[in-house]
Amino acid sequence: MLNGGLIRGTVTLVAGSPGTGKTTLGLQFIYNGATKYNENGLIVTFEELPDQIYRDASEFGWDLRGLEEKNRVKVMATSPFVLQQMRIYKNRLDEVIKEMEVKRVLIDSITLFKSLINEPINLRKEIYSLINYFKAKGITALFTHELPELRGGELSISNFGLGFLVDSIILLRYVEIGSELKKSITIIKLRGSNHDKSIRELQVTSKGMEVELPFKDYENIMGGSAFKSVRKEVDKFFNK
Amino acid sequence: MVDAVKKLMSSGLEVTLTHMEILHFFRRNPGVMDDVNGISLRLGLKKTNVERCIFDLVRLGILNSQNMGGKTVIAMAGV
Repeated sequence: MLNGGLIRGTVTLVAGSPGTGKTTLGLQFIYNGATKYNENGLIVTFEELPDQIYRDASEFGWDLRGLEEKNRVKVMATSPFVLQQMRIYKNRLDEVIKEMEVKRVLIDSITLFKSLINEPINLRKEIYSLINYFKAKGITALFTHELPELRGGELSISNFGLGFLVDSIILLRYVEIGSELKKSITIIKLRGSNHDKSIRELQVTSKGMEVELPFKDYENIMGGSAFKSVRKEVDKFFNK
Repeated sequence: MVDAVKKLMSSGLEVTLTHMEILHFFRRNPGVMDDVNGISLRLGLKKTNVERCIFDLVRLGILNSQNMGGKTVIAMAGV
């Protein structure tokens, strides 16, 4: 869907409502980086504890604790305020990134920066500054972002232009099909590259998140309540 | 962890369950770096109790404290 993957040194937003798989996708990004692409990773979590993250990752066979012992991955549980201080005033974040030669970062979730700065203009400036910080270091970053709507209706990424600041946006949503809530994945934006425009099913398997086929012959997927397209049936009827 | 517990027990301090909960918490979550308020929230405990115990552990060198932007940020020593 990403036409070869995320471009190195870019910042991607993974937005979705609770339970759609944002954190799991982020952990998979970090795990794959460390184990398949020789890119060490930093996970910055504001709410989940490292212990919980190790446990969640182990459900998929990802030994993040083991990777941390080998200095391939670091899990940092902190607050947006401390992260800001570490970056701007103490250079402590620089030290961590340099020591570990970090190439990938996961921030889970960027939404919590609202607890630091509630006012939209200053919040945008702070996040813009954070994005530029990672880009200047050539780090590929993934920010998770919480959307409150479970499905359907109007969709807004944020009230402070977050969608315009990042290079790519991956949207995870629930869609109701046949009285079942399925997960969908779609690429809203991929700066600098072409991307798959389809809305595909996203499955959580024992190996992690797997992208399945597009929701073929369905309409209103983004609306949250999909229905079978009748176009083919109508065409067939009139062409009899 | 064993060394930390030994240090605590031989410190002469009145060791409470909160001290042990904080030690256990940092052993399981060595990457935590937060202020006292944040740590109390993560532990689900009262801030006043947690604050007292955290500063006992800082004095013993089991935890580190650092001033950041006017707030005291706590982390595991040596991490």
